[in-house]
Amino acid sequence: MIAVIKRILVVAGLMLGLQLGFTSDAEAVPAFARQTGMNCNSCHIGTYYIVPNFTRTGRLFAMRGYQVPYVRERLHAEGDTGNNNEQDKYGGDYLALNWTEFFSARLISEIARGGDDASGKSLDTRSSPLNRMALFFTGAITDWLGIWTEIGYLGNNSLRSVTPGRQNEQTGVNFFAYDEYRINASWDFGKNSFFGFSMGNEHPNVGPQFQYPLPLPDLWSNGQGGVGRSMDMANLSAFLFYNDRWYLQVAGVTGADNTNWSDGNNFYANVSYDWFRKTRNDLWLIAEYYAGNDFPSIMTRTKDSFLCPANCPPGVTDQNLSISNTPGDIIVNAPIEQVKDFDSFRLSLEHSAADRGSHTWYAAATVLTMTQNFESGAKVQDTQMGAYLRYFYQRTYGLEVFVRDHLKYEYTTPVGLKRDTYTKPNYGITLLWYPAMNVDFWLSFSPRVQNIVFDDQRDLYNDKASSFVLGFEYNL
Amino acid sequence: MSQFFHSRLLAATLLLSGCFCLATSAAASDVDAAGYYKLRCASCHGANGEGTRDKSPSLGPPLRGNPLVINAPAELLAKIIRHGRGGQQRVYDDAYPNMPAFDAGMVPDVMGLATYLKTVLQQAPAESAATAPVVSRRDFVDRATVGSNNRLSPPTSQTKGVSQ
Repeated sequence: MIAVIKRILVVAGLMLGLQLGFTSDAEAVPAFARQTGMNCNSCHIGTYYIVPNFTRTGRLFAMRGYQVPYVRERLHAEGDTGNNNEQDKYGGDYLALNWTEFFSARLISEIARGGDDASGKSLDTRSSPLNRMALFFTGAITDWLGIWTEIGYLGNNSLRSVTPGRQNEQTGVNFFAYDEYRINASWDFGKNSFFGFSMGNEHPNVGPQFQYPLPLPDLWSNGQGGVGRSMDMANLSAFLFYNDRWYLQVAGVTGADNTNWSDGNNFYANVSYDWFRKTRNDLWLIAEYYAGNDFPSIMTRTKDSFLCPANCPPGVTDQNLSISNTPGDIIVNAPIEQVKDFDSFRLSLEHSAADRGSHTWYAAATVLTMTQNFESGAKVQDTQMGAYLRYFYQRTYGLEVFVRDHLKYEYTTPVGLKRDTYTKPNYGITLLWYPAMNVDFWLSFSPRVQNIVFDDQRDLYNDKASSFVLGFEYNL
Repeated sequence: MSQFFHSRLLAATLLLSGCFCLATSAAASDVDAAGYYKLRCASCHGANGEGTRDKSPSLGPPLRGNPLVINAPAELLAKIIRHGRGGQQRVYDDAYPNMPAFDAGMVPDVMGLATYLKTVLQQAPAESAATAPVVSRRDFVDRATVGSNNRLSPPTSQTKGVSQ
C-alpha cells in the first residue's frame, strides 16, 4: 500500500512538473460558456468529479433554467436569426445559435484505483481509461425556456461497490443510458425576481442545485434517469426567487424509484434565504422538507440492479453489479420493511467565495433527519450531519475534504424494541489540480470504508477497507 | 486649358472620393462597434449599457454613466476588454461574476469599441431615457488592489448627471 502511494505521489509530482508546460489562463468553453460568453469560473467553484459547486451567478443561472438577460441581443447582433427577425410571429431565435453551442461532453478516467479490502489486504491497482462519459445538450430554447439533458455512459468498473471487500470489483458491464432531463420555464417580475415551473426526472432540489455537494448526507436523491445508482422518477415544480434573497419551491414527486403517480407520491418544499449576495461572499440558508408515502426503506437494499431485472448478461449478476437503489445507508441484517409514510427535514448552510484574492472556496454544512413508518408498525429514524469544504488557490490547486456522521440511526421493531446502530464517521480528502478550468486531475483518499451494524451485532462491524483514486476529468 | 481642367477635375474627384471614403469609413466603424457591443457586451452590460444589476443573475455593471468609462482613456478600456477583469482586478461590488477577456478574434477593433463605449453609448437613447440606469456610489468602489492607472475617479457632478 505504501509503495502504491509512493508511486502515485511520483505521478502527482510529474503532473505538477508538467504544469510548467501548460498555460493557466486557458478559456474553457463548454455549452453554457459558449452561449453566454462567460468562462467556467463565473459560475463554478471547480467541477471535480461531476460535482459542480456554484457561485452565486451560477446558482441563479441554474435556478431560472439557463437563460440570461440579453442573449437575444447577442443573437440579433450576429445577424439573421433564421426567422427574418419576425420573432413575435414565429419565435425560434435561438436556432440561430450553432448547435454545437448547446453541446458539451465530459470524460472521466481513473488513472489508478486501489486500496485495501475488508481484511486490510491491499487490492490490485486498476486503471479505468473510460470510467464515465456524458454527452449534454443544454441551454436556452427561448428567452423564458431552458433545457438540461444528459446522456451518460458508464464504463467497466465504474459502478464500484462500497461494500467491504468489494470496493474494487469490476462490474462487467458497459452501458449508455439516458440520465438526466430537466426543463425550466421562468419569467422576470420586478427587480431581481423571477418565478417559474420545471419538470424533470430527478429530485426537485436539483433545480436550485441544492443537492450538492454530494459528499454531504443525502437521503433523497435516489432517482434520476437510467445511469448510476438510481431509477427514473418524475417531479413537477413551481418556484419563486424574490427580491434577490428569497427562494421558494414546492414540488410533487412520483416516488423515489418510479414515475407512477397512482401508487403514492411525495411532496417537497424549500424555503431558502441568501445573505450577502456577492460573488466573493454568498451565504445560503436552506430549509427543505420532503414527505410522502412512496419511498423505499433507507436501511435495506431494496434492489441491487435495474439493469438486469430478469436475465443478466453472462458473467454479470445483480450482486456483482453492486448497484443499489437504496437511498440511505443499509444496515447489516436489517429486516425488510415496506414504507407506509415518511417525513424528512434538511437544514443546510452553503457559503461560496469566488476569487477572493488568490483564494476561492465553497463550504457547506448540513443536518438531515428522516423518519420512516413501516407497514409492520416498526419505524426507523436516521439523523445525519456533515461538513464539506472545497478550496482553491489561484483557481488551480485545490483541496476537498468532508466528514459526515450518523447522530442517530435507530430502528424500532413492531413491538417497540429499539435497536441502535453502530458506525463511525465517514471522511475523505482529495487533492485537486486544474491546469485549465475545464481539465482537472485529482487524488482522493477514503481512509475508512465501513459498514453499519446494529449495536447488538458489533462483531459484524468492519472498517479495515480503504480506497484511493488518481483521476482525470475533461469537460468539452 | 484642357490639361488644366482635367487636372483640376482629377484633384476634385480625388478629394471628394477621399471625403466619401472617410465618411463611409467612420460610419462603418460606428456600425461595427455597435455590433460588437451587442455581440460581446450587451449580454452582461445591457442592451443600452444600463447594466444588469436588476436582473437575476446580475452579470455586469452599467457602462452608460460609468465614471471609469467616461474618464478613463480609451486605451485603458481597450486593455480591460482584451484582458478581462477577474479576481482582484474586479473593482465593482461583488454581485457580478468575472469579466471574460475578448481577444482579437472576438473583438477585432478594440479601440473602436472602447471609443464607442465612451461616446455613442453615453448618449442615452430617447426611447430609453426614462429607464436610464441610476448609478450608485457602491458601483464604483475604488480598491487599493487595482493598479493606479486603473483607479476610478470618484463620480463627479458631471458624471453623476450623465446617468440621470
